[in-house]
Amino acid sequence: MRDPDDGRFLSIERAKALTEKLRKKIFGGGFLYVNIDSQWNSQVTWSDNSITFMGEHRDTQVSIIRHVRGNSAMTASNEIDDDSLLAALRRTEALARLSPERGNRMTALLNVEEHSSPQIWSDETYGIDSEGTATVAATAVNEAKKLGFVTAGFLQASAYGQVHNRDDNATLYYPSTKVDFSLTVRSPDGSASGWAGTDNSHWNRIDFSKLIKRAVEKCHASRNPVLIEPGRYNVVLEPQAVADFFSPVFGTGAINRRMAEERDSQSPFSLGNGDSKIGLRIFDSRITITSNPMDPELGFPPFDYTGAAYNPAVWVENGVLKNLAYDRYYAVQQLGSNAGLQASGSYRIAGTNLPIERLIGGLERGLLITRFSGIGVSDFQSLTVTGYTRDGVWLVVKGKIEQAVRNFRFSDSILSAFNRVEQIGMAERVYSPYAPVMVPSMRIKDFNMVSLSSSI
Amino acid sequence: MSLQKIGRGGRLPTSRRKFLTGSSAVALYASLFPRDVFANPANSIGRFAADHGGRTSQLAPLESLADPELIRAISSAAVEAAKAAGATYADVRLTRTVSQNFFIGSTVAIGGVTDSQYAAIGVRALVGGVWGYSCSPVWSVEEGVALAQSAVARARVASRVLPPKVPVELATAPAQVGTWSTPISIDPFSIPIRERIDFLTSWMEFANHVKRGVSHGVSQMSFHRQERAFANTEGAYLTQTFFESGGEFPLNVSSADWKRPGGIQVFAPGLKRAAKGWEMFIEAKIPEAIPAMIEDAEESMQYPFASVNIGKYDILFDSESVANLFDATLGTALEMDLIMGQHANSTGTSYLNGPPELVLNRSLANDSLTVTANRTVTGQLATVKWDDDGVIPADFTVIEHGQLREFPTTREAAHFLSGRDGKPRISNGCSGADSAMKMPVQCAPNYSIQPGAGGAFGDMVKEIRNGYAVMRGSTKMDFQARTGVSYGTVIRQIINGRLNLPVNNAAIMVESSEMWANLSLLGGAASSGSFPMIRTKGQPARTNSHTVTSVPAIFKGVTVMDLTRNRV
Repeated sequence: MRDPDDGRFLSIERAKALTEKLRKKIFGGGFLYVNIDSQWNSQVTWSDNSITFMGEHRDTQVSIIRHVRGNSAMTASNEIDDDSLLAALRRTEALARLSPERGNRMTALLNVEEHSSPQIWSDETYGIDSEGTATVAATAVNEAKKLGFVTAGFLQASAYGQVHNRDDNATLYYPSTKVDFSLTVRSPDGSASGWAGTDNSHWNRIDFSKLIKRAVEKCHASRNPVLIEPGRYNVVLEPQAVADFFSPVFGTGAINRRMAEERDSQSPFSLGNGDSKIGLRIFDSRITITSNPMDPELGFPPFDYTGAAYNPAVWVENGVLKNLAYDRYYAVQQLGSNAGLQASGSYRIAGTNLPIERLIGGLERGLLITRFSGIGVSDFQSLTVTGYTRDGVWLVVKGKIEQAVRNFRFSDSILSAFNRVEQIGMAERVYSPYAPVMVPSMRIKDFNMVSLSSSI
Repeated sequence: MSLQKIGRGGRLPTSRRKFLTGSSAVALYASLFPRDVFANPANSIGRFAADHGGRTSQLAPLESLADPELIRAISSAAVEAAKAAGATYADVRLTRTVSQNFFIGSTVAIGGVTDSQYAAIGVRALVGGVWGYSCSPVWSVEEGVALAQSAVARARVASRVLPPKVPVELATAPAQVGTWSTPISIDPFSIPIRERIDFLTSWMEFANHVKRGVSHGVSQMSFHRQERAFANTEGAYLTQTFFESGGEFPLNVSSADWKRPGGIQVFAPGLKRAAKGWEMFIEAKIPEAIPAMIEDAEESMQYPFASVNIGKYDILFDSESVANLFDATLGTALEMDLIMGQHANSTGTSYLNGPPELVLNRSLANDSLTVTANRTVTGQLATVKWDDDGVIPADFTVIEHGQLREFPTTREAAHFLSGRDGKPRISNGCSGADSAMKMPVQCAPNYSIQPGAGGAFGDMVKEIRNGYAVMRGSTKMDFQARTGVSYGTVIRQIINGRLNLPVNNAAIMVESSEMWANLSLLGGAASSGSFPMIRTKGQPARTNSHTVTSVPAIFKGVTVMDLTRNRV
């Protein structure tokens, strides 16, 4: 690994020096936790075939958490000179004295937990300069221009240093890199639109040419869309559409075990009587959902802001709900175990070796969907999700893509739709800027397209 | 409200009990505090704080913006460095943003305080008609110079690798110099935090004793102060301080009635986010509002839910629902950067498709709709003295008798538009980003929907024979702001000019151009209200706030749907 201490973000040495400085100044006993999120981003944004701006962003945010005699408070700041840090510490202590007592919940989290060491640092990503990112933008523009299209897109190379320091002065530090890339290709009159995108820790694992080609082809294929009736259709969801549809499970806290075990819980994974659905079959028996920071195709930082390790988790296995997420406090209190099972937001839905063409080939009459936009949860208990199709929907007849069609607003329940799965395709990394996600394409029966949208 | 009724709760803390001498709810509440807090809040705060001894004095007011000389030195070094490195134009912004938020859960004992303080410096430089932007949290002359050089270098690379189709140029703007602050009465950060928390918890204690069975949901107060400096290569130097406050105080009124199990939640008025100081919480007069809140909840709990009959109806939106509808539809669609596809890869585009000069003067709505824009009205969220281009914003008419008259513009957009239609323009001052960590973007001004011939909400109900009323509604649209759905916190039937039963699971289908063409009556000035809005767009995402002022409105022939059914 290249030495990240070039001023772009905080190195382990500087992080340790900073936390030691704070630790020497604590006043009034109790506990001190320090979290640091340091980041560097180099980004290019383009639209209408020109670069909108080329930017660099650096930031180091320090959160100070103090527990004093059962009271606690947190302050956050990115001013990390000595005077500002001391002022922030004193402010935290004063706030803690004003805060209501919270018992000893946080002290249950004090032990240092072993964490795994995923390969999520890439020297290539950290070494990308503005020339490198601008060149990708220029390539996208030139490819789009060949067919008379215009493109808008975003490419960002980032490095993150995540630090957690706690009372025994153990410092967890994990640097990682990331590339976010997505682009939209449109016809100049706005009558056709295509999209592609992904993210990865490793610059050289992103096939930019393939994604650019995909977006251009989608735009080309989505010209002259026709209106067809809304209603229930058998659909092939591309991996991005599957991830967009499924995003509320990890994005809304639905995965939380404590919530599922409350009486009268509204959790989709609750039986409503104080029990969760753990052990019950909730999805089609071919669906398996896991998270693992050591997943070679899906690594993510191995601990959270409390310093708790992200352990490998099997959420759903062969359709059966195996686990819901809980913290260490819950583990100690309810399970008599010592480790939490936290959800980082990253997950994998196991795929098969079937290419998407096979899924389309099996569609007698239905729709092929690129992705969804404007996702919202209209009913939490059934995980009913609503939103719009975007950047390419096609009518498929007898296994052949026949015609681009207009967009729809859809409304369907994840709990129901994941029991109507007909076939599962290959999994791929999708665009998921907050936590890496790998999901397969799926063919789902009777997907509910509620109304039409003329938007493109 | 009688004392006996309050007293029946029987759970008043002894220290409070002795204050129960008045005959009204307000007197009870007022008695929880020294009278001066209400008589003259600004003067009495210090004394009240002193009464609380050391606990309050431990938290001194947060520091103000750093040494003005340092800020000036950083600003001029940054713009000079950008100029020396070859920028045709550059500007620098420094922001320091302080936020505090208090949450109190459903019991007074659970809660939290969050407190943050973030600094930022960002330099924007134009080279070869392309923008470069560099930012960090470090306020120093050396950092300002380094960021300027980085921004120039990035712009230079971008313009060489991909020469712009239309190089960015800026409409002229006189260089301004000055200082300004959001007009507020009381800086919330000058009030001890203990006192602010006490103020919030006292509402709860009060509500708990107004009526048995009433509890509060998660209540909160938030305070926000941003100090911002701006300088550019044309000689501008501006410093501004912005304040925002907001809160939430929900009451859960439960019912033993089998028709409405679970009760109802009502929110206290006057606490919506606005560019105000501590006075917001005093002016809201929550104690006076609590009995009415409970009465409202109890009144609406008398009715069972009716099921919705899908179909086309005349619909009355209250002022909040119209404000939200406008902002999600026309207010979004008329943004020039969306029309031009600048955020096509993220937020989306606009249904007002076409070259912006041709979109101007297009008919967007029934001719009864006139909407003005400003960044000058006190208390509104987009109000500034200078925008992030250093321009004094103009008040202007956006939509006049249904026709689009003017876009909100930045200096870049104003120049671009003039180049397209040949009409000389200056920016109307709509450039902004929420901190110097973000490259400025075209932002929304405060909008005001001009009143019409209708009266108050209650009068407008009388205009409808068979329809629905949407109260405190929100609207969610697609990625071109074209089609979407309006949801109401409450939707009630209107039958023969009277509000009837509430309906469950109803929503309104919105097709923006059709909806606004079907606007048939706007309420009168007295029924007007102002509501906070947030708009996020672009990659990286930039967020700006503004306020929409609106009156209620009736829309004819609107599709009402049942969310529990699969089809409309």
